[in-house]
Amino acid sequence: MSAGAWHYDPDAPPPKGLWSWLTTVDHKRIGILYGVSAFFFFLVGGLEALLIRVQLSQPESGFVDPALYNQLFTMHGTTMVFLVIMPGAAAFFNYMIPLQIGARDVAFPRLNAFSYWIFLAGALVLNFGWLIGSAPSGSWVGYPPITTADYTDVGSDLWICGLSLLAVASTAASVNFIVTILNFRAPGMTMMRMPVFTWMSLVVQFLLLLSFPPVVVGLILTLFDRNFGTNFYNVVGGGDPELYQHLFWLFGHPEVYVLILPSMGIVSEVLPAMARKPLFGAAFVIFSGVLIGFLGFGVWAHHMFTAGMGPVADSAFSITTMLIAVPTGVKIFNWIGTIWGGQYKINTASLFAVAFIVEFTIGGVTGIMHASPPVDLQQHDTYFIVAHFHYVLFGGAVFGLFAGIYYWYPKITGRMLSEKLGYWHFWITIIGMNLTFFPMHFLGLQGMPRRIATYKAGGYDWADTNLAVTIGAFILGFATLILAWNMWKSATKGERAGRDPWDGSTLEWVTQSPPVIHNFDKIPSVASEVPLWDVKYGGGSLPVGREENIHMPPPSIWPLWAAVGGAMIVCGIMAFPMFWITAAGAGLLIFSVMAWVVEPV
Amino acid sequence: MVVAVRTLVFGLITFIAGCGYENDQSAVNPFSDSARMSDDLYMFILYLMTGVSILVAVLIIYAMVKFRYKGETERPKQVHGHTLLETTWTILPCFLLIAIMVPTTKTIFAQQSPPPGDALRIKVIGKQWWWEYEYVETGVVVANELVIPVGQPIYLDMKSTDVIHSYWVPALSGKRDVQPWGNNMLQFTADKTGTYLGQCAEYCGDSHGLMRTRVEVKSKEEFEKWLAHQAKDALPPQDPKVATVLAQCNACHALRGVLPGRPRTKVSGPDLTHLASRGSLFSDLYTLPKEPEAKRLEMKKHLTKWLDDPRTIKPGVRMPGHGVTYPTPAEDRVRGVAPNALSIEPEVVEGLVDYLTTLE
Repeated sequence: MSAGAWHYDPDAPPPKGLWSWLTTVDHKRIGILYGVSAFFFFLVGGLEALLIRVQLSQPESGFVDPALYNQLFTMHGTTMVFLVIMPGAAAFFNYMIPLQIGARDVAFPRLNAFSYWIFLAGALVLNFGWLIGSAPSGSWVGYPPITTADYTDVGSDLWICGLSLLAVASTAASVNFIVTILNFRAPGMTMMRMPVFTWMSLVVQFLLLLSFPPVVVGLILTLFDRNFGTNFYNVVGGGDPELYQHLFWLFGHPEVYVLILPSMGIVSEVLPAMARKPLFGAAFVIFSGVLIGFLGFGVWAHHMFTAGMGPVADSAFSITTMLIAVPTGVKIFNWIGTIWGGQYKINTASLFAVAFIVEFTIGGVTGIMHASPPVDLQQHDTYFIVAHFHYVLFGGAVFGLFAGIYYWYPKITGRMLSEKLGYWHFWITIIGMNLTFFPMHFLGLQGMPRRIATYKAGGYDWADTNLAVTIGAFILGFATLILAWNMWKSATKGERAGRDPWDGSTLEWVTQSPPVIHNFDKIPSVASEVPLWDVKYGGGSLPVGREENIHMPPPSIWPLWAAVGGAMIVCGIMAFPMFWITAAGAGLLIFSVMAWVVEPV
Repeated sequence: MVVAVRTLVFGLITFIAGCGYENDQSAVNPFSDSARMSDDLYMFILYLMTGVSILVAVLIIYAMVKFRYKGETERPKQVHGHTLLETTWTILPCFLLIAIMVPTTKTIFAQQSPPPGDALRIKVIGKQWWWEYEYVETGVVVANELVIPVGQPIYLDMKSTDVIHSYWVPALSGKRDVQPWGNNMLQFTADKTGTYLGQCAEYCGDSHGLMRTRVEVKSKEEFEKWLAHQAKDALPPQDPKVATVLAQCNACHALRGVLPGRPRTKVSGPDLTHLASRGSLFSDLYTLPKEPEAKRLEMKKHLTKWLDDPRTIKPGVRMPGHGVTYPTPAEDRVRGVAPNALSIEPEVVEGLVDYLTTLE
């Protein structure tokens, strides 16, 4: 650890082996780690969904018992939100933001590594329950009293502690990206010349930073009630469980925008590149994204219209909720305007971008329906809601991430994904997705509540529709395997991509595919929001040669140890009264952070 | 696959038309003033929003086909935006939303107005995993099956004794959470006699999906007749052995006229006084036939199994069985501790079940 020992050699081959991944602080490698983890959990969450669907494919089924069923839907929701879409987006934040703004890395590379490892620790804690036969079963919202010690066992502790670790990961990452985006932009890149994906990511970082504290407070209060005999949510002791619902949704609604805004950003990159013209009304798109983020903090109680808040609160939250439709609509029309008058190239990425707009709109308009409380009283907690948020999160967020995968895979691996497999993946996904989620609207209207483990034969007419949904789910599962195969195969067999396969306009297409560790030999300067098109079509030029003495941070194992320490802190609390684990974990965390502070930079 | 296609085609038609869901738990087949208000608003928004979705889909698919890349070497005109157009599609949706907000707010206040003076007040108590109804004026207590008169305003005053539930009978009213920390209200006036189904809509543990209920809407006269019958006490069992065994039930269940007093303990279970007058068993898990002898046999079958090991029928239920000993739960602060086994000699079971089927 002697100071000054580290010297970055830009010509050295990239390091290889497990150790190089455990100690990496390179934003691109951390992005890949996030992406691979997210895809792994996508398969896990998908498997949970298929088990749920088998159970519901016919009435009075005994395929899984209710206790297991409750664990499955709890973990399906938790996994898809926190371990798939969030890290899936984080993969692109990590990989693309420094490239798009012309930076060599993020502002705090070790903190970035720490974010990933503590995320992984949280994911493992969440899923640990499967090994001991007691996975979380309080649903993804985890309302007390059901999550208190009277009604659920250690699964709820795992859920609380796992989510708390994920909150640490998200908070650290949000600070990191805010600092990076505000300070590390290439010369000439003003805020309004920044790529829209980076803009939407910036909004997401603020949402994460501001929305996680309330839910962590809510969770910690539950943890104390469960383990230390407090009465925050114990009605008999004067507690108020409704407090939790407010704390949760004060996080939970901005979280919806945390999930969708990255995909809106991706689509805002893919559409102009494929239409060969700039984003229509970029300023409107950017400011509507900011407005969505802002309004997102004023609508949380629309998740609680059935809780009996009274007509005044119902009306107020109904109106704020409907207001969000305005900036969302602006984006949709601006995206159409981007294609209008362009030369839209048809490929898998561009098809997913268009499908995103169509499916997300369907999810959006059903959202307007239950923004109206009298309608919501019928739709709340039914399959209509399940249909709605799967259109938003699968047809929206996940389709956006799919578009991002097809668009940026060549940059990340240096090779193109197979378009042939891509088309198969696209069309089978479209069929599977709509067959899975559209009939759920009918089920909800026909009176089927969500989270029920079984339903009666005869009397309701739910059976046929449920069978159709199950068939759709399996088609969707098959489509996902095609994507997995495509990514696996193309990594070695795909056509070589070159630096700029899509005739892109933003800085990530300036550098090699995959980029060198220091990203750019010389940082280009920027004069508009389409710097690379300026170079290719407007007579601009790129800097030549390489900067002297490029400085990059050294690899470090300490972020990983710090994350282990963080995980030990929560494990000790769960295994109460084994507080020595907590104490040891805190010691390890502090020591590791100290150690990375004194490392040479 | 045939099922899938049929579901999609029929579903799509009914979804757009917004009708045709004739089952007894449908939210778009309303039979009360309140449910009708929700449904009217839903239909209005549905038509508007179907229009918006189709507009967006048509526009984007048209744009994608019309403006697709045809191998041009010249790039298209580099348009950066159009302020007038963008301002237009910022402002136009606002009018659409105002058109939705106005009737929405009106309906919110209409549905939550104070109950009229002639309203029939009923207390609803949600428990894991069944419903108790108490007619406030007469003190009649029944479980799982609510009987109400047609045309009279109904006022439900709801509370839970354990976790959060949500009371939902779609044909009569939207749902409302039933919470342990405070009372919530629902009110509606049913406008057609018949049987309507409902169930708990807030996840409440193992048997959440089995926490169902049914509502019988009867004519005024029939309702009065029913209420008078329910107010009567039950007759005690003839067999002294059955009477002895029955005493155990007193820990949780009321049987007016037979078991001393009405125990409203922490663990209290359904009132059994008129068990056999119900049209279903175990919160509408099994619908019973109408014909008396068939009904008696069906009840016998299910009750025998229930007394043996109730958790095979309703997982997690607090009712003990005589064929099995459940693990004693830790004392919980809300619900106390239920007994973990019944002691009934096998030869008394049939007598006990027979007695229960006579509780009309």
